[in-house]
Amino acid sequence: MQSLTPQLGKKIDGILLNLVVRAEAEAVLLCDRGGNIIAQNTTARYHQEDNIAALAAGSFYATRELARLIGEPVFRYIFHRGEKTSLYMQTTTIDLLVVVVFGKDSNPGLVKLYGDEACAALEDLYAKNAASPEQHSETLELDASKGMFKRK
Amino acid sequence: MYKAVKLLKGKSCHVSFINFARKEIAFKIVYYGPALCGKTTNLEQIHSSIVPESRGEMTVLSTQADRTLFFDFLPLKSEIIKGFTSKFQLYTVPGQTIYRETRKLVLRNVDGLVFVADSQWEKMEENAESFQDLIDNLAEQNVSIDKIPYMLQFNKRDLSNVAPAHYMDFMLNQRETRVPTMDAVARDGLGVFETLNIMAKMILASFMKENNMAMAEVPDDVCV
Repeated sequence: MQSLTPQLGKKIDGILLNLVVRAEAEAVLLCDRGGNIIAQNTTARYHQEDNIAALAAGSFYATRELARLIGEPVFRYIFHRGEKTSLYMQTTTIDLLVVVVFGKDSNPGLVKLYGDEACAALEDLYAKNAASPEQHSETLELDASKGMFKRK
Repeated sequence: MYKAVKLLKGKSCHVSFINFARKEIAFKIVYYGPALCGKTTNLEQIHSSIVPESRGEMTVLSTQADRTLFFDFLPLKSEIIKGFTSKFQLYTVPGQTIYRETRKLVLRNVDGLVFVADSQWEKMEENAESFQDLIDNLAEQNVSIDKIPYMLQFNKRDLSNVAPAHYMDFMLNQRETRVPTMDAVARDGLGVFETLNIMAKMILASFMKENNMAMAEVPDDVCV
């Protein structure tokens, strides 16, 4: 099972907050290889973050496959430069993906610099957590009164 | 009677991701099948028939000829598990043979599979090839299809040249454990919600079972 405890979540939130502030980004998402959002920090409103995460994960892992086909171990970074808004994606050694959305007032070099630092901090955090995992248990219960999906 | 399940961090479980920090549980459902069998149509019908508060926007990555190039994506959400948002993320794969690498990417971390088979007689060989392609692609990721909740949808039942459902069942449903099937006319929405209903229940049942909830019941009407 892949899971994230509240304690670990808070530490990740701190790393992402640091990244979004220092890089002057509009949004930062941390996703797993399946496109699930592990944590996020946004200064602008992005209503379709699930779609962004799914597309980012798909795009990044397609690029990784491209790297393999041309004999490169991995492409760690991807930049997409736009006129107003740009996107930076970086993978970590723990197979997580950091997605940074930033505007024209941000500096791509700083985004990469602080993206590197955030990835290193995440790798360190996960390594420490793996060495002494935080315990967390929680009771889950089905709530049939809510139903699942409702038709119009 | 719906029993509680106690989750312990680190316990083996099939579900892709439980985020206790964000109070979210994510399930990934992939619609698989040969080219032009109706995978995208399934998602379009779900998107148009479900209440807006239970779904996000649908992302379609297609060619100019409306053929799926990478994948389609539709996020759904539910409050079926108390205190958590259950996110069901629906994906399709591109059916065309040349996109095998893309299908492998989309299959990563899958929690449930809907195999959409085209009921037309002339598509039987493509159905069989696509099903074998699915088994092979999962195997390359060290995943057995028999360990994943999956079902078969026999689509395009309204056409005149269709194979009998029992023939398609004989052809595609011969593994050790027989799986649910559903006749459908996805273009008209027939059988689409029912398929989603069955798949969601299978995933939830698997989720409960793998967390030692052997007697847990999943309500019949969760998707009504």
